[in-house]
Amino acid sequence: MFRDAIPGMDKVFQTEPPEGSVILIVGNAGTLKSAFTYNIISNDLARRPNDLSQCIFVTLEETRESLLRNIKTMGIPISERIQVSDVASFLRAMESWTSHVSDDKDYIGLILEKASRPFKIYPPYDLNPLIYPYDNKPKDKVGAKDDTDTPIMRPRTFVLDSLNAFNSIVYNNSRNIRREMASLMNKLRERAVTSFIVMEVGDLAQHKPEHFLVDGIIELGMVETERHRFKRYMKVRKMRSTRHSIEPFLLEVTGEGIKVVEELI
Amino acid sequence: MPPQENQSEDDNEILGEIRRRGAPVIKTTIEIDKDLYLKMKEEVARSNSSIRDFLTNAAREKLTHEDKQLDKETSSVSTIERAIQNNTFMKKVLGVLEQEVRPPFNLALLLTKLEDLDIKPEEFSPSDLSDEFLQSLVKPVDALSGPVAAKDLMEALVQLRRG
Repeated sequence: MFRDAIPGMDKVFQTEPPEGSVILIVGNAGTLKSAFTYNIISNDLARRPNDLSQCIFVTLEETRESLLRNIKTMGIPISERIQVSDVASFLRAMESWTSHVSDDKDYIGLILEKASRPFKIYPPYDLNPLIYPYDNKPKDKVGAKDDTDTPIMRPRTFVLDSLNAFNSIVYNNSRNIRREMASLMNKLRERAVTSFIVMEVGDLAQHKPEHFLVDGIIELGMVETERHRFKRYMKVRKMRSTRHSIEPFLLEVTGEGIKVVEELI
Repeated sequence: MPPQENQSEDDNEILGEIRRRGAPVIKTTIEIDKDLYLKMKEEVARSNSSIRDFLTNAAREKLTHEDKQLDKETSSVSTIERAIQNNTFMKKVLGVLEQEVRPPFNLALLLTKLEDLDIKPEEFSPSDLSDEFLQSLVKPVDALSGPVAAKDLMEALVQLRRG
């Protein structure tokens, strides 16, 4: 998924991270965390036209329209197999709900369901009319009404953008944020959905609680060159069961998305 | 006033409180913001009270307020539960919503939209499913689950409206 996902990424990864890994994408504001993540997934899906897998991209930071506008601006291809779920707008539509429902709101359940639930997309897709793409089961075995019923595809990747916004929702409603966070990450891993958790951090050293819970950490940042110009970089700080470089690599935004240029020396 | 006398007076008051309430009291030590403490001192001096009485009264008022709030919420929820139990149409709409929005979010969404249009849950009926109302239910589902889910929900709601 990674080595071919972005041009030049094979310089960073010598082997692929295992499917079902939970990967933290960390960095300051403006370091392309969301776009970088979207670009990896969008290119990966484009390289799999026949397996019909999907991605659920939960955005809590900005609206779906705003996210996709930014992605387009960077020349990153938009994929209809990435469902951008604007959970913040959904929750805003129920601002007065607290006076109606006394039960604890299961935000983690809501988001986990998004992570694991296949979603329908519009045709055209070249499908075998007798086989549902979901686990290659015959359609009637998975409850399809008929052969023309809209195809449902299996989520392969999940993105939570961002952990900071998610914490602010859950933290206001739960005293066990650490336990719930561990539970979220374990459940994502159990479901074998490769997950990207986007997190904005000023100083990485100050944000250790989530580090031991994840399989990988990719840091995105900016450096000032000798000529006082700023350049973006990526650095893999940790990736379990994967051979990778630990050096920073320069990133460039081209007319066709993001690419890894060279090692930052 | 010498500290020893003050202490003795306090102890007498505590004993008095035990006798009055027939309940035990405990002594405890708390850390408190210094500015807050100084403000409290000013207030108790003005009202000729004590820090202990001030804190006790504040805690009682807070707990009474929270009990009332809880009673209010519980009462509101039980009214809604009754409305759902007695309104078959409302149950059907909740069931359709549940296909795309898990509980209790489906209930919260429906109740919020009913409130926006000033419709009482117990009086909710197919004639309330105006185009405007359907759009207001479907829009958040589109944000959460995408356009195909929103389209499916709209079709199911229109079907319900037709009866």
